[in-house]
Amino acid sequence: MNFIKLLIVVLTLFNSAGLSADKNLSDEIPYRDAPIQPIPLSSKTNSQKVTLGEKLFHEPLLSSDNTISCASCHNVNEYGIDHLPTAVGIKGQVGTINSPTVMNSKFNLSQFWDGRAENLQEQAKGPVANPIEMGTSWEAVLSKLKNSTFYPKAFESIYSEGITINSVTDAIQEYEMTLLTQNAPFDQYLKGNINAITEEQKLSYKLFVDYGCIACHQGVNVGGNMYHRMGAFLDYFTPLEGKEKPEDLGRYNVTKLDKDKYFFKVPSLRLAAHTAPYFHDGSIATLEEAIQLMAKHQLGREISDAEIISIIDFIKLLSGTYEAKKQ
Amino acid sequence: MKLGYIQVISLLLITTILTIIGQLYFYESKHNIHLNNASSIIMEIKYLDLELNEKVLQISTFKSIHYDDILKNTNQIKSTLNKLDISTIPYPSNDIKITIEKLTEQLRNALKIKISQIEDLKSFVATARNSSLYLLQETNKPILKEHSKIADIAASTFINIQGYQLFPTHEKRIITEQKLQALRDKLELTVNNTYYKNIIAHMEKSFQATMKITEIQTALFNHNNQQRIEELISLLNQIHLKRVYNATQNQFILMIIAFIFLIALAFAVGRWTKANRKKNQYFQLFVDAVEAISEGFAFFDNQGKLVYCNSTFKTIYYQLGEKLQPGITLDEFKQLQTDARMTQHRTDLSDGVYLDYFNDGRWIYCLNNKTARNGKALVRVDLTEQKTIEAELMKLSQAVEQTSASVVITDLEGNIEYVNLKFEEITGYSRKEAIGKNPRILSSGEKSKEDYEELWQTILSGEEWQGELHNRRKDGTLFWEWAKISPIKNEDGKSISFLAIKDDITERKKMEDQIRWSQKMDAVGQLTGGIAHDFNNILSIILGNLTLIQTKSTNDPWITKKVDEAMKGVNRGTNITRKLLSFSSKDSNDLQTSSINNLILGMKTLIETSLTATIHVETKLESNVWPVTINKGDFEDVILNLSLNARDAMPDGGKLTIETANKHLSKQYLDEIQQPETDNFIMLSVSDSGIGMSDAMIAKVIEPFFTTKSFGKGTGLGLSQVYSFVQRCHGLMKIDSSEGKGSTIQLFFPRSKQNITDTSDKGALTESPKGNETILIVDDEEALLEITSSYLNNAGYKTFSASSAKQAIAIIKSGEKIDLLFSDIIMPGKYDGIQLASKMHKEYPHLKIILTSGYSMQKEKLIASDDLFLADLAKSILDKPYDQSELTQTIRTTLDK
Repeated sequence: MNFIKLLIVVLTLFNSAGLSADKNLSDEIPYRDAPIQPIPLSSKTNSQKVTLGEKLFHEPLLSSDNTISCASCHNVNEYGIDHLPTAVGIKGQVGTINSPTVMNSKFNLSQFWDGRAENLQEQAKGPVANPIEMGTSWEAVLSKLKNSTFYPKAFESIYSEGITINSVTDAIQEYEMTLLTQNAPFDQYLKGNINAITEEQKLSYKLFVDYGCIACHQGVNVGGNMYHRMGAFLDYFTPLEGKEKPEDLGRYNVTKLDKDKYFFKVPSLRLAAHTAPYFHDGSIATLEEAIQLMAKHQLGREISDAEIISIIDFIKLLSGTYEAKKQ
Repeated sequence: MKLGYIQVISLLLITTILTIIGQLYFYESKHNIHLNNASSIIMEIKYLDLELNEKVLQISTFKSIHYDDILKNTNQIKSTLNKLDISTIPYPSNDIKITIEKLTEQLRNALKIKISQIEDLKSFVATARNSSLYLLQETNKPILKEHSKIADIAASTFINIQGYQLFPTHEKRIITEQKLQALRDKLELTVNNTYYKNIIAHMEKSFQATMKITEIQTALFNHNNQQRIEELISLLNQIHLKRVYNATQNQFILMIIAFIFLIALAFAVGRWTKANRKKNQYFQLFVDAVEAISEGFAFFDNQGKLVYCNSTFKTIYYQLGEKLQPGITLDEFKQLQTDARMTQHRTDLSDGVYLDYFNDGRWIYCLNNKTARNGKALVRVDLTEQKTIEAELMKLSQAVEQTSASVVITDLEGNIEYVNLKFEEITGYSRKEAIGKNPRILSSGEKSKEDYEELWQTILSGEEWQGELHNRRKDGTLFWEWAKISPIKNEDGKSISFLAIKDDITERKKMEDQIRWSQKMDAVGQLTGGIAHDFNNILSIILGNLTLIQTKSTNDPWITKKVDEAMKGVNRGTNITRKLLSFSSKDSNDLQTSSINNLILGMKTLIETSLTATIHVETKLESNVWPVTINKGDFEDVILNLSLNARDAMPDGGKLTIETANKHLSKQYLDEIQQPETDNFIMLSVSDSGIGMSDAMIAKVIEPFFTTKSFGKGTGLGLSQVYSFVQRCHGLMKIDSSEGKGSTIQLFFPRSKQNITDTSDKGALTESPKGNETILIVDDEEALLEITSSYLNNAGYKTFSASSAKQAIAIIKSGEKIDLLFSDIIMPGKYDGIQLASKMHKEYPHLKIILTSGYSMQKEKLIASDDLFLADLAKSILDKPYDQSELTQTIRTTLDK
């Protein structure tokens, strides 16, 4: 009996030691219940896949005329975007949708503005066959990759199936998982560094919360984890005026449900300070305008210019830095 | 093969067991994995769904909260649902499959709807929250206080909205709706203010969103997935239990099958082990047996490979050394022999059988036999020793074959097994005839049954029997054998057969007979000599006295006539004793070289008158007959004897043939009579046509005193006298006679080298010579002493008489002048005549000595003596009986020397 007691004591001690070790993790979040969560500093990825994915991400072979790569629209050095209102594909073709940033995209509940891709891998499949974007077929792409000198060997060492749509997009996804902007000032603040932001900025955050922005732009990515109607309070689109474009229907295009009309994935605000133009069609050039429109159509409020600037101040705090992992 | 069969069965059994177990195990485990996966996924979904419900409650409050957690939850549910694969579940029945598929599909859809509703919820909550927040913020603003009534209504409406948000009941909704409508109405009527309109819009947004939220919540609660999930889990558990049950059942069946297989396997292994052991045991027995035999043995299997060879085989082929190993083929074995150049010579005996002569001098008998299973068994027998023995035996058998003795080998029953060449030669029976027969075929019937029994007992008791056998040849003739019969014994000392080694002793037997006969004759001669001596003494006394009477009374003619007749009788007696003496004497005195033809012709008249008139005498005389040296008188006696015998053999008359011829005798005869000097012989043959003689009679006729004549008619000395005479002449006598066919007596005399000196008779007695010397007469016979004294006194001599040697010596030593000593030889006392003569001669060398004897043997003894004096003395011995004339002449001759 004494032995069992002793055993229980030892096990308990060991267990608590393990728990206390957990508390020392750098990703510990003191404000666990805060509506915004910091971007974690570490993530689990397969370095081989990441390397291969990075190469594929920058591979023009994925396009029909070998001119366009993923990076053409999602420049990782430019906050994951092309700074264009809508994407430009092969032969200079211009698309209808603004290229959202690829950075931190793994935190999104789905990909594309209308959330038609459940995850990054699914997303990666899309642009290749899009006649405007890359304008080719996966068969052609795979054949090109197979005929290259580099890829067959590189794939063989990682994927037993070799070069397939699945393996190519998996590698790209793995790479995109590493595209994170970390150590944003607000993240540091969330982790307990109260000096990471100024008192004024704290007030900006309060403003962001009190206005109700936080109701949709929350979570790790400060957005991206829910859908909402563009014009939740006040209609944004004016179909009767004939201005409505098919892409404006948003999630309806995916679900074909009337209730989903004008519903879009709430975009992340992490890099919003740097990723103009805004909205799904890139029609809004500045953040101020965007904030103003958001207050009017989503919140049913009038917002002062000063408050817009304050909120922009806050939004800037959300941008961390991206460091390409030297593998 | 049986073993192979069992091994194959065992292997098959083991393989089957392993396959079944493996198959079942993999089948089970694969399906179990699928089932377990499905179960665990469902379980995971169950907990994720529960968690989701919790999260739904959390986000349903207006608390400032992020949606990352619920997003994570829905993502987990989505990915977990993607992992769920119910198609691989081992459904026990199609019903369950359909049910599960249906339930799963329902679950998928429900969850999809739920997630989509949650998405809606998220946005409604956001809207409701923001509007409510706005209203909270705005209702505290002073602008509302301007219109207190509206403010009150607004506040009341807002409270109702909040109440509805807290307690979303139908009543509250209706009330709230009414309040809102009242507020709208009030505002439309009274205030056209965007501010208020905005408030109402927010109220409406908030209320609508709340209603949506309530609607979604109701829908979520109404569509509880947990029940469905529980159902699924229960179904999967059922499958699991069923599988466990089936698995147990299968396990049981499997166990039984495995058990049966194991028993079968154990049995098979047992059989196999037993067979193997037995095989090993048999092989060991085989090896032991093969090693135990003295022959070389090797066995090649049906592949032609050497399986085993024993050590003797290896020893026989020691030249092949280590190369002779199990595994080599028959051809290789032959090649090895060829390479080793072992065989010098090979003799094929029959198919697969041959005799090898090896270079090292060994003889190997080789036998190659096919075995039942197409293998080959090689048997090798080293015959070197046998061959050597065979050669030795060959020599021995040749020796036995060629030996001068006759050899017979019989079995224990006496059946002849072997006879040698000499046997065939002697008996006249060929080997073929003799083998298998009893040696009794040779029996002459002379030997008694008891003698044969004794012979058999001797050899049966293991001892050697030696003796003479008088046997009969195949042609009926008899022969003598000296036989040594001994048992041949084996190593245990047991008799296995009998060996008879026999020498033909017929010739030796003849010689022995002759020796025995001559010894007998010697004895008879001594006897007759003794008798004759006494007779001579007696006759001398009678003759002396008759002579004295004659000289004294010549006047009375009657006395004169009677004395004359008595004198004639004495003379006949003297003749008989002389014949007896001459028979016993081997020496012939009075020899002359004569022609026997003359002697026969001289006697022819006498013979013819002696025989009866019915007997016809015929002479066939060789015209130029060779001379012989014989005693004429004896020869005449021989003729007379033979003629008289012939006459007696022909009582009814017949023919007597006397024949002479010159003959050359063969060596055999010459050896028999020991006459090496010449082969020229003169034959005298006397034949009659009388009654003849039997063989037995022939054997006895030459014995003295044997006679067939009636008592008083013959002395029985006839033929023995003839035989004695022939022997003295170094001649040969042959008797050829058979009963009823007459007899022929052939006498052979050697040819003389001298010419014929035949003279007439000695002539008539002359006057007795006279003298005056003193003579000492010594004789133990008083009467004879007296007569001799009378003879000598009549002739003028002075005589002394002594009856013994002692007395004679005394007389001589007394000083009397003695001129001559006349002494009998045989006298009783210390000295006989010869000793007396010797003694006196030494003491008185000038003393003249004459000896006398009625027994011629004494004379022969003396002549053979080394003493010159005695030898000389022997020549002058005077034979008894002597007459006065013979005495005085001998005395005078000696005195005058």
